[in-house]
Amino acid sequence: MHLDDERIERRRDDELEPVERIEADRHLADCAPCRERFERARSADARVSNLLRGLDPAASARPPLEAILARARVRPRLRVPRFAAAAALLVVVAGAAAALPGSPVRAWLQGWMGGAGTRPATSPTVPAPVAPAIGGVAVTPGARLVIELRPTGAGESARALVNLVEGEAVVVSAAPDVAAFDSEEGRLTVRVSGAGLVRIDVPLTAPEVEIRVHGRRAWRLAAGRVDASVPADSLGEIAIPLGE
Amino acid sequence: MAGSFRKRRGGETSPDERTPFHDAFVALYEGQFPGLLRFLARLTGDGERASDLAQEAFVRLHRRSAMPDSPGAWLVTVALNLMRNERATRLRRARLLDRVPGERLVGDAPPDPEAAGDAAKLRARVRGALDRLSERDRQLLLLRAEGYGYRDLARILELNEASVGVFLARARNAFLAVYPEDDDASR
Repeated sequence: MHLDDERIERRRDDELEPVERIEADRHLADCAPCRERFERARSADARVSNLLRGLDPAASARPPLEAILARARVRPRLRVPRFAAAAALLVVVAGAAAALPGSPVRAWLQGWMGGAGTRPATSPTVPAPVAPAIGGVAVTPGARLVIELRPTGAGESARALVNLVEGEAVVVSAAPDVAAFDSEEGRLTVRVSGAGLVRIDVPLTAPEVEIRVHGRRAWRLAAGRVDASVPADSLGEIAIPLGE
Repeated sequence: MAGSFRKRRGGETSPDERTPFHDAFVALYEGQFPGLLRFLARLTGDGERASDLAQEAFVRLHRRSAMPDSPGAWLVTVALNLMRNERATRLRRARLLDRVPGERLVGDAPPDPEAAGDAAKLRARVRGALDRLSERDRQLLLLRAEGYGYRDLARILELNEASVGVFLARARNAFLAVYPEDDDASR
């Protein structure tokens, strides 16, 4: 009786138990057809392995262990598109947004800072949280949310970068000298007075979100589709200039 | 080394890290990160994305604070789940933005680089062949190429462990059947 395919593969990959291996080797020594199948499998495997090695680009550096440990200690409550940006954005958004009355970010910040405070920094390469350099606001969009961007002065040369993300809150963030925020039911007003970037993250599942610049519609998500005055880049982000 | 005190590159280990779990985590990181990264880079064709996924898998393991039964298989499973979630997000985003079907997003496999060198052309051919396989066959071949044993392969891909060899042989044959042999021979 010949070796079945499973046994041929297991012998080739050294996955047989010692007794099974002895039996398989004995059979291979006596059976030319099985020996031929075994050699064919070995040759095909070597060819595939060789081809797959050709996929490897230049060797990627392994990140320092400290970077992994630092990320493991921060438990972000907000989700952002790129994993690497999670901790940083959480700090900067949460910092200033906590000052806004009614903002859910206040609770997030308290929770996060409390957690971080009970865990001492363990590596000299991991900086402790610093004062935020960017402010922002997180708003649950409800049935419809209008984000009104009102640029004045240098704000006319600012840009809004709109991105669709996982999560439930619309998050708008910018440096404090670029924008300030007011929110009311169904409307978020962003007064943009400095040149720079206003980042707007909109949940993929938001029912309707409209972004207006100078009172005119520049971007709208409704009924499962986006209409925008400018096309998305290759990352799916849309950069809207705020000038007249 | 479990339970011992270790000194890491980059500084002393602090008291709260001197645990058996931490030692096991460091050993796992040093031993398995390169292979996991290589597997994910081969699978996605995007080194940066692969690095993000591999790091996040290790972050999740550290937050777990306990070693699973088979840490290597656990890490791969988590990374593949993260990749699936990320892909679903990108597809949903693309649908909302009304992209042309089939249009590639950043992070997808790169297009065939006509003007690139031999290595890039070979890479594009291999990637093209991999892309024509089922997801299971593709992952099976790449994981085995990283040295994962049959038990781990069965665990990660939810296969019957007794049939892993047959699945591997089929995946290998499927790959060779779609790989453009003539192009390779003519080089």
